[in-house]
Amino acid sequence: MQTAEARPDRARALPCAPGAHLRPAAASTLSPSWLQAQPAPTEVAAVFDQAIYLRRGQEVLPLLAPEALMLPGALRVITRADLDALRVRVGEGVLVGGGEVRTPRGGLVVRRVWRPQPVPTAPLPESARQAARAGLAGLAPLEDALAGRLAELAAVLAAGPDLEAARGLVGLGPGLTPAGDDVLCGLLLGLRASGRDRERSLLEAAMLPLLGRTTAISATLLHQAAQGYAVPPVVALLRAWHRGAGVSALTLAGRLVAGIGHTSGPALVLGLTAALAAPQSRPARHTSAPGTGPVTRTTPARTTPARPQPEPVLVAGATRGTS
Amino acid sequence: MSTTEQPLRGLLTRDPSVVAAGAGIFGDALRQQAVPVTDVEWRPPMDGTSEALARVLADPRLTEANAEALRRITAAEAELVRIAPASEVLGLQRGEFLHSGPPLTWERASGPMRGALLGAMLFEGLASTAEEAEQKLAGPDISLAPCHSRGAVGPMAGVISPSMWVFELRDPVHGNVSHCSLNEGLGKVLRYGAYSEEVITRLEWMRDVLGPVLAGAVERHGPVDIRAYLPQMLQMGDEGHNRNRSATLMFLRDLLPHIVAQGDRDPADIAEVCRFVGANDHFALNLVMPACKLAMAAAKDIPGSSVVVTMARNGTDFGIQLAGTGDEWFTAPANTPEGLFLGSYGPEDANPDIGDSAITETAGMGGFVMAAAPAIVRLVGGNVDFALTTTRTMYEITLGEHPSLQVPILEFRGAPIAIDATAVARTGVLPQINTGMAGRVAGTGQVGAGLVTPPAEVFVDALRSLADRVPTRD
Repeated sequence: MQTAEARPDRARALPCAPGAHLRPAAASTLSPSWLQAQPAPTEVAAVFDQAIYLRRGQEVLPLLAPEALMLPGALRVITRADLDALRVRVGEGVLVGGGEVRTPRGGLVVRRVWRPQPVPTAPLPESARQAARAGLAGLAPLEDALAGRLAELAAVLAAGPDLEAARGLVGLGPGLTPAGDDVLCGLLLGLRASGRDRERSLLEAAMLPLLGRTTAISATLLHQAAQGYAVPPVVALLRAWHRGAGVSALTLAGRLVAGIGHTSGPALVLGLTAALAAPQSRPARHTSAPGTGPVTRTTPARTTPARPQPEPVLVAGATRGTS
Repeated sequence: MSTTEQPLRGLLTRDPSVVAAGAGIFGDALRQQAVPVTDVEWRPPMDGTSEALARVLADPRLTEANAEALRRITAAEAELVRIAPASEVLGLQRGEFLHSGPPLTWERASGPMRGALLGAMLFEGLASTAEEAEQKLAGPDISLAPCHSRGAVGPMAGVISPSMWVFELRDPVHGNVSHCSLNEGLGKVLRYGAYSEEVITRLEWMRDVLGPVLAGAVERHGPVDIRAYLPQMLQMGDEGHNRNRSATLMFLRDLLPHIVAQGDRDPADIAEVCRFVGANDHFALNLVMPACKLAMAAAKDIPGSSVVVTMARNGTDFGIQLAGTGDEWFTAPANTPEGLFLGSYGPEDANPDIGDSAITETAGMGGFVMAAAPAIVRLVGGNVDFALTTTRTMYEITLGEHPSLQVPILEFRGAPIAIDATAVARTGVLPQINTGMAGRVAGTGQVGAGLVTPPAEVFVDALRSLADRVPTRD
């Protein structure tokens, strides 16, 4: 095969200037595997003041300044100047691999690995669930035209995995991280942190095949949310749920979540709220109310959580439906 | 959400914020590992001060004593109330001389100090030749004392003899009085160690004409508010130590009507007095210095205070006094200034640091407000950035900012005022003095101007003495 030779050729096509300075960076344990693989061209997907997003396929590697919101899979640098020094433009190709990001102007080299903290995965006692709900109540609601629709879909999905509802949410809304995806992230994380792992894995299975519908950065974040990783304010909030924190402390932590981005925060809160909505033992009754599409519920599984019949069918169907 | 609810205060679940103090190597090592680090400058306290610092900083009187010192220093006023011979106002007897800096003997006196004393002997008629003067100065009949021991100050050699006329300034707030000689101008002058005939002739004219004419003018004018000149100087680009042009002209403006109104004087004398004062940009130095001395005298003898109330040099030693250690001097060999030289003079011609004029820095003027007088760097060396940095750095070793002495370029920030000896020891930052340079050989005169700092040892000794005075518990 030629690849072994071809890759160094590509590396030569995008050299660092002689003597160009490689600045130290810290990779996440969740950073894409291609960061450490053979060097290959990677597209600059977005450039912001405090962040640069690199994309290969549907996987995004955020390069983040210390001031930026700490995305779970990010490659972090020491100062914004380290990002500025790359002087990249959107659409441009940079060389990523072997633990380095190289542009003709300069580059970054992975000098350490940081480990993002996962959200807790454990059943939430009823009192803690109620406190968590009270803490989120009234926090900066979504106020755009999508709000009602998002709330509806979230409620349906909270009750049980629903391919149609998931299809409705993935990629819904404008921007790099559409609000629908943020709701899904909130839902996935909320279900995990309230111990509703069965619903979570069903939802994940329903959602994953649909990720081609959204942006690469959003798809990356959804993947990470499914694995239980989120930005620090969300992790802090969900940990507070399990610590038996009081409502005022939970509200304080919730505000930090609601304050993320433009619509991301409120959308996350919406998803988290939906995850807390249904009682864990009886997900059925009230969630049928919105009546959006067929609600595929797993009523037989109610008494014995272990491997109910319909799930594999649903997952298989979902997979087939999108491929 | 309180972090105390989390194990180890969340240390293992969140990114640490790293602050590196002191040596940069630790911060750099972390930065190489892509860890953001906030660097904080820190260095160990000056050698030999740790123990004394611990005692002084634990003294319960310290905070209030220093606050009181700062209050007094900034509240002090300074009025020129009269001009008269030193024999009258300082009670100097024939054969008694005052000099700058800490106490000194003839044997240890440097070239310019010897030159000035020789000149003063000739001026007083105590000797007819330099050789004769030298013999007598080495003998038992002549007595030397620091200007500061009489509440006076003198620039460079600072020699005051009984027949010299001196300014008398009074602080109406605290009741202190300070004196200073009249400024002779630049070049070959007594205070820089010159004693040629030209020098003596000028001193005689100052005694016979300048002193009496100015004294008459002050009498007619009434007390002249010298303290009011200081803030204006800073607004006009002078720092009061080596740039005094604005205060000189303000002083002349205030007194001029009263100088010329002395109808019984020879018009030629009046004209010469006006020309002499107006042509000497340093004339007001000898007014600024006693005004600064009055500010610092107000803070003398406050038990427990670590404020430096005196910095003075005699050409051999540099000495300081603290508010909390009375009249005790802490001395060490003076450093030699570095700077710019006149004509063909060079570093080898310069005498070690000399003069009481560091009282200006002690009182927040001079080197401490170089930022207000960027043009000073053309005289003393350095660059404008150095001037700005110097003033900013002096805030690290001072207790406060002066309410009325303000630095325009720093958005009218108050001058750094009240040097805290504990801050000097903790930071290792030494007070910055800008100064004239005297030739090391007696009779040379001025060879340049430059920048100098006190020897660090004086602060070590002063702190130890202050620590010894901290009352023991029980």
